[in-house]
Amino acid sequence: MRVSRRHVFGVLLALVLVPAAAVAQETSLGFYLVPKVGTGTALDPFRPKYIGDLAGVQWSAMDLGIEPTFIVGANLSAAQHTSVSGQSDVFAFPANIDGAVGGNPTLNRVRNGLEQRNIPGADIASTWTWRQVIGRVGDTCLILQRLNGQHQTRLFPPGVSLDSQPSQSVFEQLVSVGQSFGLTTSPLSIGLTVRENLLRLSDQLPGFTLGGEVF
Amino acid sequence: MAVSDNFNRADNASVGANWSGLNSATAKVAGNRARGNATSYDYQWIVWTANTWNATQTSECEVGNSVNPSNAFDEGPIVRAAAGPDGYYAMLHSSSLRRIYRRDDGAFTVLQNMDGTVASGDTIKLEITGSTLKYFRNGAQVGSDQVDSTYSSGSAGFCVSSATGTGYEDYIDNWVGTGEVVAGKARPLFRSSVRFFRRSF
Repeated sequence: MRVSRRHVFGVLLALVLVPAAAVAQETSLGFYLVPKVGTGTALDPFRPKYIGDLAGVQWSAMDLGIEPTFIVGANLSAAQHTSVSGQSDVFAFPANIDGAVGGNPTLNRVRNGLEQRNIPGADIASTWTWRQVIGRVGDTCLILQRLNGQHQTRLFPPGVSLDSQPSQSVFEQLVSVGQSFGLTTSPLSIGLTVRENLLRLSDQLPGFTLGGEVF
Repeated sequence: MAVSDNFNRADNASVGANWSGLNSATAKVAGNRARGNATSYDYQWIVWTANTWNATQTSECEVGNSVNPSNAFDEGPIVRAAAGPDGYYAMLHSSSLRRIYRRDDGAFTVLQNMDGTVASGDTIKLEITGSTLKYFRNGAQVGSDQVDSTYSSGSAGFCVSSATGTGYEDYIDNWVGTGEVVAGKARPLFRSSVRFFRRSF
């Protein structure tokens, strides 16, 4: 049998390209709300559940202060995305974050997904884009992170929810958080719920980046 | 302005009066580099206390391991560090793991995980402005901007993890920090230009 140089070249090319393609999996940036896991030691640091244990994955996360939730921007393969987004304790945002949330059942799902994690979500409308929703989550993270840094305290200990009224000390802490950001704190009131006070702070924040995306 | 330390001095159990440890253990000078000085493996945070610090600051140092250059890089620059230890840390958990961590009263939280490797002799810089952290390796940013608002103040410094006699000979060298508060009256950078303008107008 006669073997041409072209055939030999083709076989060699295939030998080089096929393994390379198998190793270099295509990834895309996605956003996920996931629980916080870990004990805080160097060998078992607090990290995003599932994503934080994937080898070789580039990701960036913001935690909700001491509350047990992360918002994560992660470059996952299709298989990794399917695995992570299929977990019952994960809220996966759609790939097109500039699309509108739309009506039910998606609208209720995102509202509940945020509210269950003590992130104000009941006012999200069908016309909101997913980018706006992630913006709400991240802004809330920034407020609760500063609360942790200044006062080392949870905003939502057992028995306290978004619809609770803040105690005097919690109210004063929220005011000091707002002042540390240079925000206007006069709209805050102890007569308002934790939700309303949080929103009056987070709505003033200028935005942030996560995973290279601007929110 | 910047402050710096190349640790080029005689071996000593302390890195000197310009530095303070945020853990019980401190760092030592050995072989013209800064190394851990604990009796057991630990993450020792050392901050520059000869100056106070602005909120915008950078911390940069050469990192490495003199026994096993391809392994065990548990040291790196820290910013906005304070007693706890609290603050931010560019940690090289091994030669193939680059991360930005936050520490809260000593507890570790991973904020960002990046692709790539680190080699002995690399220079790592951590920069913080407002709530945005940037990680640089040999002058090029790695990963994406990381936002975290937990700490709005603190000092720049470094972390070393080696413990005497354990074989984990991690080190940092040629540390440079920017964002320090300079005491006294600010002087113009270009005195001759100032004199020229004063004469001219």
